[in-house]
Amino acid sequence: MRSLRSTALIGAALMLAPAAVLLSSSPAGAATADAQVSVFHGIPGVEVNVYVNDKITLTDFKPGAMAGPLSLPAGTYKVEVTSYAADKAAGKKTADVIGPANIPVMASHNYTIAAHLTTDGKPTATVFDNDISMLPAGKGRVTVAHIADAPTVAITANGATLIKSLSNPNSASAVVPAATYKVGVVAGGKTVYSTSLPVAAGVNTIVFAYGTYPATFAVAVQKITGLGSAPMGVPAGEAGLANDAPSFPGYAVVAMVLAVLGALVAGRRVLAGSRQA
Amino acid sequence: MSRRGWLGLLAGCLAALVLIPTGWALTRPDATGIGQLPVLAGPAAPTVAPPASVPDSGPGAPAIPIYQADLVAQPGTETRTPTPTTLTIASIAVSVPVEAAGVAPDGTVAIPHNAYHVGWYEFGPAPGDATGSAVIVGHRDSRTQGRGALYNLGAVNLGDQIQVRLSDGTTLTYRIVERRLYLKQGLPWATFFTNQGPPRLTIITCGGAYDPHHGGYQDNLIVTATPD
Repeated sequence: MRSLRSTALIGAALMLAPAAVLLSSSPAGAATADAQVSVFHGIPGVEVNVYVNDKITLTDFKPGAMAGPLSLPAGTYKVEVTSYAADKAAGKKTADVIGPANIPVMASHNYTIAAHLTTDGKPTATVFDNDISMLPAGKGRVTVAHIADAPTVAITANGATLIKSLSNPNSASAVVPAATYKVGVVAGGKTVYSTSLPVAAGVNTIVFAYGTYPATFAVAVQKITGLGSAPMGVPAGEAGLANDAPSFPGYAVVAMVLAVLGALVAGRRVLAGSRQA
Repeated sequence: MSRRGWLGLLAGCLAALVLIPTGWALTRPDATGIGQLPVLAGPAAPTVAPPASVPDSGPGAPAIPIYQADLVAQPGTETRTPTPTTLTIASIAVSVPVEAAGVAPDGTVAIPHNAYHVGWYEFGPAPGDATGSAVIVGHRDSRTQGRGALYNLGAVNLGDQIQVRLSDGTTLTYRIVERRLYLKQGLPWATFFTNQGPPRLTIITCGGAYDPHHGGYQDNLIVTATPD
């Protein structure tokens, strides 16, 4: 079965990676400003193979698994997803379950390609261009990606609405003080799912809600670190009691005044003596 | 007195007028501080690999890091690293409790209200972490409480020992490598608030000239110490 939603596919692809794989999740990537690309398998019940530019890149990739991040140079990549079982039985690449899709990758961006179900239960892929903007000191970003075969929902954090309306295949995020939040998924006015989610400072914590609700609904997390800023200052004093720059001491002033007087008196005497001589 | 005597007195007074201020200037410590920061441009912070399970790769499939991302299966979820509880600087008779310090609404570090406590910046490295600057801040003084815990920080010397006791009962020891006044205006905070570079302890308070009409203390007094 082939399914392609070119309007939904906006993103990236994997290429055969050389042995030296960049394992960092930091946004800057390699010195060459490559993109960072991860792949998430959000379709329960089927192991897949992922092909990029006709080469097999991931095999027996399991539901709930995250691959990467990989550094990839900017460019366009062809991505296809097949059934691992079907390929194995046939001894070769079988029909695409998702794709083929030609996906542009931009330098320095951070992408997650998610394989998931539409609200019609059909396999598709959506590429998320992750927010890697710097965060103020002490704050984190929480992102929720709705890739579940489920209706439109709202997201709450500690009871307050974080995201008013979110539907498949979209994501939304908010910057919040670093803390552990009780995150709720609300559908039809009812909280249908909730979990405890730590949101660290300087991190974009991305939550993928995937699967078919309620039977195979599940939640996965990806973290992009290195987005924190230093605080704006350390205001640690207010009374002016400390003295780090001692002034010229009083006794030295007295000594210099005496020296001036002495010089004047002695100078007069010396000059008077000269005139008399 | 003879003419020779008056000449001698004149010479002596002129010499004093030159030597007193010169001698004073030469015996001052360096105007801004002593020592220097450790070499910070070290290797990049170690990259952390997500726990990888290399898939059953057929021929031609390279090893790419893969991990189970399910929320319940999150590996290494928020392991509590020990936090600092006491700061001791014996050379200036300081031994004070350490609280956690966050960020104030204006984006600056929230210094503990209690001027006799100090705060560890909880969004940066902890003392004992493998890399980066663990920051401890404290008031130099307070309008209501007088001298703060770090009032005498300007009197520390290179090589002085600093001890930090952690919540797990262990004690870390550091040696001071720099004590310096940094002008607040344009201070490069990213140098001191970072998880990159060699592990170090950074103690920050206020200092320098005090101008009540322009924000009070004009400098931050920053002491940097490296693990002993």
